[in-house]
Amino acid sequence: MNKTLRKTGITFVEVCLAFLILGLVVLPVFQFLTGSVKDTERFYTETIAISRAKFIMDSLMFQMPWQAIGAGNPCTFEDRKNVTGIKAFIKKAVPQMFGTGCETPDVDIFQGDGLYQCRKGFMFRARVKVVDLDQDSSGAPIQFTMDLPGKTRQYFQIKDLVPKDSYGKYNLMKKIVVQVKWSNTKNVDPKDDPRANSIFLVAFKSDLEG
Amino acid sequence: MRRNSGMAVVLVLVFAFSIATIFAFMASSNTNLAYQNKQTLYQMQAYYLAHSAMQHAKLKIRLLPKELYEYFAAGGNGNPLEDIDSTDHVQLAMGVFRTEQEGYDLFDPAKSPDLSFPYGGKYLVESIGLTGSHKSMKMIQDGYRVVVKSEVDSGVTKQGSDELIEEMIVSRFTGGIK
Repeated sequence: MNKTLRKTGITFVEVCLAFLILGLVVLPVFQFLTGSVKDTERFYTETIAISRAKFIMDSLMFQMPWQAIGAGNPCTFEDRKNVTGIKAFIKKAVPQMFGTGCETPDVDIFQGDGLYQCRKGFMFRARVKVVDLDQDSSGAPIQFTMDLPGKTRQYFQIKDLVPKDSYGKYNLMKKIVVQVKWSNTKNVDPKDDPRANSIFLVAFKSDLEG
Repeated sequence: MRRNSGMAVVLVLVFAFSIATIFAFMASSNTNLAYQNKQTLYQMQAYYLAHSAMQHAKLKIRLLPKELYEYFAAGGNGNPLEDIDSTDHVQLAMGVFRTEQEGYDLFDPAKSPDLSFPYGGKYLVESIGLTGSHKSMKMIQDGYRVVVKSEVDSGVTKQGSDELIEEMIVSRFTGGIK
């Protein structure tokens, strides 16, 4: 009877072999888990960056008044028509879009550049470049054409269609580029991280207000 | 009795195979997430290009409402907004994606000159149609239906496209759009 019981048990060699196989499997699993946590944080930061870029571009394309966006890298935000509501909007909206660092010595002027830190401690730098696509900005500025049936093609230049704006330019379109740069290491400013990641959004805003 | 020998190894192999399957699934799920994040970005870029096209179209419509109406009144049945095409304007032409665009960086002005872009892409007005004209009112108003399209190219498998359709009413004398 005792002899039979010994035969049905697990031998020492089997246990050792089982542990060896288990170890071989568990080791890459742990490596995978560590990598997975890092990947999750990477996707998290990328998602935050995408949503921040979208928030900024939505605000600039659909909410910020045309005349309040000044060209530059970084661009500026300033109400040049002294409308109280627009001034209040800029003061509230721009710090929400860019975080800290978008203020300038003039309390009514903000710049399109700032630093934002999420709850988990990752830092995101957002910057916006605006280029005026005005009459004098290029040797081949934007113009409009019209082909009336039976007539020769008509050409309309910007300077024929609108007066100069508050910046002294014949301008109807602005090129907007949004960049959000971030570090995948907590509490590190992306401008100090050579391995920082970036995403971009590009759009062209037309003057539909004048 | 001999049939039970080696059961531990079999059990561990089954267990190991199960774990490997679960983690392989998780790995592929993570890869999908990375791909989806990228696709979201390119699709979003196409969305803003489509809105850029629509704003560009509205700009022409409100600046030249009389000319636009006259085009349709004279029997024009083509696309009077065919010049709203980013490839026809030097400053709007994003072109096709080139490797050097990967280095685009607003934080380094040398890497972000005015005529360069971080993406390749284009937009255009595909069609515009006069849907109606209200002549009996004090302020003459024309209705238009505009279709715009956009494409983004940031390399192989990094592409997106979008289409926008809007109907609008334009005051022919003032160019006001509702």
